[in-house]
Amino acid sequence: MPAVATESFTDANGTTLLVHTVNFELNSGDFVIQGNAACANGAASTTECGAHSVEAPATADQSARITIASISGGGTNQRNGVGVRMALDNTANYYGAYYDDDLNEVYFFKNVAGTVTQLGAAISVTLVATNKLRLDIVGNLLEVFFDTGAGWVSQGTRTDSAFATGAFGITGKGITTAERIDDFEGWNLGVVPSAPLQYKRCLAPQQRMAA
Amino acid sequence: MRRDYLIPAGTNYAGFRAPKYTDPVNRGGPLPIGTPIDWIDFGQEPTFLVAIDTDAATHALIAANADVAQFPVNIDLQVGANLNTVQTQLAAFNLPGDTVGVNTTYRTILRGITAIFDVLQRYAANTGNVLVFGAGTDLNRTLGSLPVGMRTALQLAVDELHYDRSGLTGASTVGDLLKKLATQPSHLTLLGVAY
Repeated sequence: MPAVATESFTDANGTTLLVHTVNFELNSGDFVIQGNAACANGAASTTECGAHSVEAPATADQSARITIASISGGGTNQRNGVGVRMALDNTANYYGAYYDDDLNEVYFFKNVAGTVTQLGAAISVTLVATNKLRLDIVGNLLEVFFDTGAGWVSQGTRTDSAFATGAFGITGKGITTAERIDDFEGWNLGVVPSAPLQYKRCLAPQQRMAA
Repeated sequence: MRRDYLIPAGTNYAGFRAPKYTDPVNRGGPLPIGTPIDWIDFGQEPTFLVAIDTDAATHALIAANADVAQFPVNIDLQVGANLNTVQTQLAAFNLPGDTVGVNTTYRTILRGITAIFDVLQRYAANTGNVLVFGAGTDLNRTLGSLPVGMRTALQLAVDELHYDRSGLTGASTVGDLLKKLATQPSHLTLLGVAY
């Protein structure tokens, strides 16, 4: 089963996400392209940023994945990562997981109408460029994975019931462009609704004989 | 050893809304680095249920805070002689305690809290963080006297998460609703374990 939405953020430096593509819509803050990768670029260093994909319909059970493109560690607490069940009405409502390369931690969180609540303890980790971050949600179970070169490894789970629907996307916080993410992928983990199946009328053997 | 706590909401070292007193020592808090800890919130109400697997000294630091309610290590114990204390502490967090009896176990109470939190999380998301409690609403307020939008949103959250609200009427109280939820299995876990 392939990714149903992808984005490589290839564009001129300084291009904002919505200028770059019509396949994302903002939930909060903003993102900008730098070095053919993306980074959160809100109005202030404390601005939460989120954008969801509109490239493909998402099932409620879904996965968002990115590759770390650049690490700064410059003391700015820039954060970039992924989001799931991001509100399709473009409001600041979504689950996310992003990496802070100054504190060397990944956080599970939910943004409910702009109030950002951490979900359980931070995951202490030092990620480097080319490492991958992934957030899955199935039912009310959120799960974070890292791929540091040996495949996806689960880093823990959380449960929360705030959001039932939405789309996969990217999340972040900050205004510097030194920490960046690339190669977004959105995956459906549930069954994608399809057109109603069409059934042909099937006659019983004796009916076929009579016909 | 794992313990459970009701802890007020605060802002942690990383700038998130989170339970108070849960920062690790390298961030100015009481928890040894690597302490297993998990929490769920009461929607936007300013309370978290927190599970921490830690040592006696760290537990003492957390439990010493006057605004923290602690549960025993053995949650299969009955409330017994602690009944009044338990009911008072639950009420302080806007949680109904009048169905708790001397024979009720702490596990039963915790399971009920997770069911209530489950519904209030969905309610908060559906309403954009409209608080239930405060501004004239407490456990004794009737559902019929709530603002229509709040009452409808509570019903929607209960129904979306497939909890049973049969038997509740406009004359039922907010406390009655929460008690009804508290008798039902929850979808939420802490440190990967359901109560």
